[in-house]
Amino acid sequence: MAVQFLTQSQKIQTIIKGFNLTKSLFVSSILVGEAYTGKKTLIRYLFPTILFADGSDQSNVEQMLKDHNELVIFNFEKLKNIENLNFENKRIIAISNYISNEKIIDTLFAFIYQMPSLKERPEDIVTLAKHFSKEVKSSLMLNHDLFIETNKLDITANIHSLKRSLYQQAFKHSSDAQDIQEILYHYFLNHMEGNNDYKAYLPLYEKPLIEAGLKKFGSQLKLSSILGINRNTLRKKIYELSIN
Amino acid sequence: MNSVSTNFKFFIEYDNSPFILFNNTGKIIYLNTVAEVLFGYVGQQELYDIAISYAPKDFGDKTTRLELQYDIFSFYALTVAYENEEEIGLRLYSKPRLDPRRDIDTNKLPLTDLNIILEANITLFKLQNENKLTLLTDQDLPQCRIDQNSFSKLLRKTFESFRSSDSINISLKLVVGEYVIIQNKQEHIVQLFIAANGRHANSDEEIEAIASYINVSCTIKEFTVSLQIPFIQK
Repeated sequence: MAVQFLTQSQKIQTIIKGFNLTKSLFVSSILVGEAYTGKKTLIRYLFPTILFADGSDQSNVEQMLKDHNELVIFNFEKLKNIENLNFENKRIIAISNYISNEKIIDTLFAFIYQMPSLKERPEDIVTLAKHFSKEVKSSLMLNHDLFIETNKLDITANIHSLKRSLYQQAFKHSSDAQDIQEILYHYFLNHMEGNNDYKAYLPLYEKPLIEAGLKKFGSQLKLSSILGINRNTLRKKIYELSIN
Repeated sequence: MNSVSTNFKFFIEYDNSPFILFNNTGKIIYLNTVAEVLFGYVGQQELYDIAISYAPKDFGDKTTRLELQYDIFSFYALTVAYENEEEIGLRLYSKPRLDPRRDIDTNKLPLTDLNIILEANITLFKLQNENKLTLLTDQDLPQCRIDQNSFSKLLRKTFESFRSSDSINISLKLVVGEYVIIQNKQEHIVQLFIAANGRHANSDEEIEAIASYINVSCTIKEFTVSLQIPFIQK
């Protein structure tokens, strides 16, 4: 299946241009950037026919370098004695999460590209979230499209955390009463140990109930009527639960 | 010695050292091919003044050891000669242009479009820098044989040295009338010239080392770098 690479980032478009220009040349290039920024996918997209070698397996990389004149080496940061690698007259593309030795990298590679993190390319977050939401929908067998809360997407670990937060959002939005009861059951099973726990754990139910009610009905007066409680009681609860 | 009748002008015409014949007002009467190229880098009046300054006191010739540098041209001596009051000749002795430290097996080098490597390096440079950059190149330049990886590294290092400059001017052109000997063959020269209004000199040794490794002649000045690349086509 053809690899797809989604980006709106000007920086990545420039990296693509650079790689495309040197595609026919026997030069060594390295793409460096944080984990889960899409480096490997980008290289697979640009060089669909080149063999990939895992830098975690030193002897395999050394053998493949002897046997082939073009190679992609991922996990390059895991290789040892990189100064002894021979890239002469070869097309080498290395993928690395970081630069271990700047001087050696500078000597080994003709082209050094920096892959921007998701934080550095916010224009890609929504595009990627929409793309991965299809995967989430399919793997969770949901029969409705995912509602994405973009401001709650976690990009601290790039695509890895983005996907995780999409799964969390999907689960939150598709859970029924039984799922919630089961979640609470396991939570109580693990945490209950005090002597005043009924009162201590009541906010788990009351806080989301009042927050959602206020968002949905707008006023405390209306909500007190909907919940069937006195509005003074509601006001007191809002204060105790620190609801804005 | 038997006298011979032949036209020696041909030998002067294609000599690697410039020869210029001035009249008594400083106007050029004759110049050979390499002198034509030299006038791209130095003014006519300046060379005429040199000829007058180093001329012999009487008719005849005088050779003086003198270091002269006009951009990519380096000279170690000059001869000034005249036999009448009307004409004065100046010959400048070129230093060897390239001193290949490494034998290149040109057959192992891939045919390369220099413009592609140049553009890829400009793209890489633009990723990290926002300097204004202008490029003047000959897009029809034929392919030549070069160590692509080392040449790319050379360009990356050279461009990086201009990272603090406001604007950078790059030109790539085939030099007319200049040659370099590689593997006993006369090869043309392509010149990559980069000029800016600022330059970091901390990588100069590295730039010179990479250039020397691929037999590229490198002239580094305060705000310019000139690379003379052997244009090996076969």
